[in-house]
Amino acid sequence: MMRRYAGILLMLSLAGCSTLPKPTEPQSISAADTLLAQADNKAANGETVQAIAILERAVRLQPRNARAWLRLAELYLTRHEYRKAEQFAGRAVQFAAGDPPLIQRSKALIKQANELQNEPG
Amino acid sequence: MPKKQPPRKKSKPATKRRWLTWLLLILFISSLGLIGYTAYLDQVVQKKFEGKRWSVPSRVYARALELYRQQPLTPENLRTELDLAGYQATANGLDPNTYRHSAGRFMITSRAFRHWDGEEPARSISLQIKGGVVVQLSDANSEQPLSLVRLRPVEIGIIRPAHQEDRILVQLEQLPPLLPIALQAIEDRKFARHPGIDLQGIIRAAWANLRAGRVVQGGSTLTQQLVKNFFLNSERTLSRKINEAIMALLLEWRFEKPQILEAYINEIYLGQDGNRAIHGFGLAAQFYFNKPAQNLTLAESALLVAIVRGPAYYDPRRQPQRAIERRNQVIETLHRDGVISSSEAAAALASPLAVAPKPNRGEGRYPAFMGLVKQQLAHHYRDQDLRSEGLRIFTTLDPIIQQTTERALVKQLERLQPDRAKLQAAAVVSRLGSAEVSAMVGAAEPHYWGFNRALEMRRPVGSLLKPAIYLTALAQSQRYTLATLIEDEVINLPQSDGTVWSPANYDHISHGAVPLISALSQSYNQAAVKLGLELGLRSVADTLQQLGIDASIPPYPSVMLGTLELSPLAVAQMYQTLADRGYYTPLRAVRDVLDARDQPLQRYGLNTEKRFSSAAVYLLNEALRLALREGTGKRVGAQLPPSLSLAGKTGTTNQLRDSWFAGFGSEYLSVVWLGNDDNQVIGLSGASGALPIWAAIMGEIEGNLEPLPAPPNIIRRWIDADSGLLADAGCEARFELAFIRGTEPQTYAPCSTRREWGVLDRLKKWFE
Repeated sequence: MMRRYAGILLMLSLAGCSTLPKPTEPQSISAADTLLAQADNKAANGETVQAIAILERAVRLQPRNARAWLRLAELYLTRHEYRKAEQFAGRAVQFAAGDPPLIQRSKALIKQANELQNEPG
Repeated sequence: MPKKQPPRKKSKPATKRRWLTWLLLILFISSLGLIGYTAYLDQVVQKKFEGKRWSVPSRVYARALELYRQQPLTPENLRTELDLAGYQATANGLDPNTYRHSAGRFMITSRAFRHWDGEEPARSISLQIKGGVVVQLSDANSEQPLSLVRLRPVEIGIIRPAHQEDRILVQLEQLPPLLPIALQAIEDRKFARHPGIDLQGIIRAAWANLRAGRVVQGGSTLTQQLVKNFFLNSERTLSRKINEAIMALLLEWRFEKPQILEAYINEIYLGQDGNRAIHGFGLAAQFYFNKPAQNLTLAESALLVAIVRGPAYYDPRRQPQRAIERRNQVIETLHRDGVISSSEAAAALASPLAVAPKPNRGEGRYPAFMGLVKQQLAHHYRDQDLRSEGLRIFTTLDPIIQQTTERALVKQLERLQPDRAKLQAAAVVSRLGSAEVSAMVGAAEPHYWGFNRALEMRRPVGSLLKPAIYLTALAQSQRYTLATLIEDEVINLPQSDGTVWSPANYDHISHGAVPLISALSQSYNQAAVKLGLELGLRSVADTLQQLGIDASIPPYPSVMLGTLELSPLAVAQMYQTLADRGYYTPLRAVRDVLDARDQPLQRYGLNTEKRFSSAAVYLLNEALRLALREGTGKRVGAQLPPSLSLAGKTGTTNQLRDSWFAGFGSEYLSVVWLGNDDNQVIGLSGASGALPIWAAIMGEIEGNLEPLPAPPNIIRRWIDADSGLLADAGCEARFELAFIRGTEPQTYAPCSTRREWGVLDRLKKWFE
């Protein structure tokens, strides 16, 4: 008898698991991701200033969001603001511990920005 | 061709006709002139009016609260935010601008709001907070989860950034309701009914003046007084009187009564502060009572109304007897009119004038922060842009953190005040990463305007400066590590004036050779000066400038012990660079500005610049962590939750005149100062005065964000405190220190059981 109840309880709880999202996992995309996507949209439309402003909002929300810092660096690079690009990519490196590809991309951008800065003219 | 001559002699009727024609012509021309003149005056009045009161002032907003899942937020703080933003608590929370709350579950309904980067639509959201975290956030109608919602920001002030005049604009509904009633009862009983001028009033006044043989009574309506104030001309000529009357009529024709009354309230002359004219009840409330107009009592409102007739004649500071007599007339009039009860009248009549001793200036609830906003606007935005009307200014103020800061400060001051009546205070809180100023307090009474100590005051910073010396050293990583021994011993420095400067330690003991980390965390003065001289004053000054101090730094050794005078904001800027691991990011209070057509003004974005190696700053911050937990900050620091990764430095100046604490955690930085305006001794050290406030603020606002991982080139070694060399179980006083890889000591301390293997060890390392 007890065992049967236990079985039902187990089934119920399993059913619960399958229908309800787990609270620890994000139920949809995160707040910062939403902003990163918005910024990408703006940037794709050529609205770089707006995109930068939105990324700054992401940085405010999550000051350690390395991807947001790197996106800022990339946008400054397209605007030929090389010094800023280099500095923002530096912040990305600062926060990218545990994400080697992101560190690599950031360092590559620093190098590129550096070269462009030193280019004559 | 011969001309037909007109008859020389005219008949009488003809002459009469001609005269009539002339008369009509003159009448016609003069009425044309009058119409023209009136039209001209109409232009003048409108222009003046539009240019003055009807220029739409700029609205200043706090940061918008962003809501998202997993966000740390307590129900209490959300309610504070909603209340400040003007949401009403209701039973269902479904009407615009209302909310419902029960046990962590919220229903919030907002109107659409145009943020600087886009519009937040009108909607109802449902939200749940559990264990201090937002666990659910969705659209209440569609039940779709929402990833990010921005609430309408709290409006924190109204300013006219490009106007030099300082005026605290108040809206009618912000005033105590009795004030406009009293104003009309005393100055213009028929205001609600007359067309701008009050003929009966004029006749009555003229009769009274005629009988007296001089001007004893004015028949001016509020509208006429307003016109008079606009044109700042007090000559009493007939032509001016007529002008005034026409303009008053025009004004009434053009604008509604409440608009005119509001303009009057913001325009009328109410006193003189040196060469500064006090216009408007908002500024007058600050000037006379050092408080916002909203908070005026009955007696205070009555006094301001009493002053209108003659601000100099009834000056409550110089002519208290006249002022109180006239104030009491106002109160009695209100009582006679049945506006106030007998007991209210009696209480008001019995109350003293209670005029504040010192004039103050200001606006809004957050005077210190608004001061910073104005400064940054003037600095970063073009004057012509700021002159445009109806700007919307989005700032970084976090009203919840501001409230936390104010409360922590006021609470500690209440505890200390009985012994220290004049104790003043200032505080700055900023966010790591974005370097946004979240809160600012400039006085012991945070809401009352006055000297903004957080921004305008310069005081010696004491030991707050020492991190600059130690960072200069640690940046030379081959020469200095946290384990390097520094001599803490008596120093005698001959000065140019023939005297000898010999700085003492706080405990008046010299501690001998101490590891660099202890010298800083215990804030030994002699070790700091010794090290500073070794490094050279020039390089220490350079470090200070790199950290973000833009004051000129005099080349005296005493500067290193903090005779340099800085504002709390400048200290925050310096520590921000430390908190951000060597990245200098200018502190900012303004995010964006929209013009009246919702177009963004030229924005100045986030900026950041690497000034120091992250590893060197990491080491320095290790010492500041130790300073808080086990060094000079131990008394309070040891009791802070171990889960918070906090670091900071005490600052105490000569004979306990200034009490400072500056420090940071994983998310925020704050700086607290206590002292007296006249630089008297307050008897508080940084640890006993400012630190408890700092700890109360940080304990509230710091979440449990993990500390930022150490830079990759940082390693840790056990070190013997006596020798600064490698330690093992054989050493009693040992502690684990961080090193930049390759700079750690290579030999073992005498206390170590492995001492004799030192050379072998090195060999072994070599092969590793």
